[in-house]
Amino acid sequence: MMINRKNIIWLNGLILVLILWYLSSSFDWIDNTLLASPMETLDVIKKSFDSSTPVSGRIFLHASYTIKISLIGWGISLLIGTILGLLFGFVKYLMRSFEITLEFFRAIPPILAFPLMLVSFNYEDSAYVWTIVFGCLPIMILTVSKGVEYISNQSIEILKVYSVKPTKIIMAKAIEMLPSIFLGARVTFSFALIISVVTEMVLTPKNGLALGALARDAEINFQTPVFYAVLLLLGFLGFFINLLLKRIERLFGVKQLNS
Amino acid sequence: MKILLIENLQIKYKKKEGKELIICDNLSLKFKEGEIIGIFGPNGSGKTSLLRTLIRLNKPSKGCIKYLNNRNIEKGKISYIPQQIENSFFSWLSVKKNIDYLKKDNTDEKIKNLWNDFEIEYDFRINPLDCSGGMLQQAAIVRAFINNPDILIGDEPFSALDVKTAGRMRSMFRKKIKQQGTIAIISIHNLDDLLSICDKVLFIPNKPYSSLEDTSIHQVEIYNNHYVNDREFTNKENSLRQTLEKLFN
Repeated sequence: MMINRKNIIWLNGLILVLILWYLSSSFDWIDNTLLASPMETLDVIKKSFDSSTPVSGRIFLHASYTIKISLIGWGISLLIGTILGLLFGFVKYLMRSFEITLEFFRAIPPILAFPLMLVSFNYEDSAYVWTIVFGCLPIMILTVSKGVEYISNQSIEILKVYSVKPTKIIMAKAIEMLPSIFLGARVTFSFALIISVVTEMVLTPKNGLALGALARDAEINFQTPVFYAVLLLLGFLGFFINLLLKRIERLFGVKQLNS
Repeated sequence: MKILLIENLQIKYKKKEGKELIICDNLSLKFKEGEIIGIFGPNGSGKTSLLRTLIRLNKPSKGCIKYLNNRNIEKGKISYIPQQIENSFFSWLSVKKNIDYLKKDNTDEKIKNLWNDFEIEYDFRINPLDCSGGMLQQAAIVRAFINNPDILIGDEPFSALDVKTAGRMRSMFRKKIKQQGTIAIISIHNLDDLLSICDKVLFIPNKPYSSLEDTSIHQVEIYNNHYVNDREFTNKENSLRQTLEKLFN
């Protein structure tokens, strides 16, 4: 079977990084307390599927908690952010009233809100979730409300001139809004994952399973392969969710505004 | 008999610095069915503002616009060809579906017929993002006829077309207007476009312009009952060209 070279060009960078990684660890270019070998790292991931491995060593259990928390926080931000973003976008008065406040909150590192959330939610999982919401919501609102400006006003005007049904006009506006909603969704998902991991590094959740906590402990205890396994997993996770959202976006036939 | 009456119209805007800008004041005009009126004037004279007011996209600050046909104009019987054509099509629909989106009933056959009448060469299933400005302008002209309009407003409707296509589109445009008894009001920069399609020319001088009486001398019949090779027409055309050029300068 012939493989088109253009379709696999993305492999170049990946192969180069793997070769450099392999060589650096094999020839001790970098100390092995700082850099685990690809084999050791893969072994950690492999063990995760083995039921005889203790729960604390099963990296996918840690990952499932982190993904769950990230998805809940991101989902709330997406829902509230889209509704408020649309409202702020269409009602200019509201946007003018809140834009500076939103920009202010966006500039605050969400990790600073974490201690407050911990106290407010009695050290429960909700503290992690609402820290994510604190970080993602302003971004989502601003992205969606700015996206309203991208709506093709002239196309909407044409519909009005031809006295097209209001439901059709609303539907057209909603579809025109999709690129900014998808853009906001993609940006905030990566951010949600970052906030989730950082907060878990600050304080291990009650159930003791979380990727952030695992990475922190691995680093402290010089379990370098575990640390790199977490790193790999997070990279793949962010990458694949982004890819998935892009696919969904394409499914809707949405044109890219900002990429 | 369809008549479009503009009575004592005033259009004004508030500028950013709070000052008021009067585009036109106390303007009264009357247009009859089957007429193609060309609006001609320098950049920034308020042609687009006037056209947008006629299709109710802008509200007049004074005066009124009446559509008389023994009854009010039916909903959906106005059509519009905007100036910035690229932004007037949804990128998530094909050109054909963009036109289809405007109507309740199935317009497949009608779009096909109009496409053939205007002899448009490209496939209407194309996405607007893959079209040039000229291709979209042709589609916008077809779109303007999909609802058999009583009133058609066009803002530079032939500006993006090449000479050959413009000639073909203009002549079919004129034919359709006459057949359907539509009142067409179009703004045009190009003197050749203006002379080859319009029945009347309304010159818009510098702002604020007022009643038709002030500009009526520029409303000259140029086309009716004349052919391009007709000497009388050529003389009239030349004299009008000179008049308009003088006014413009």
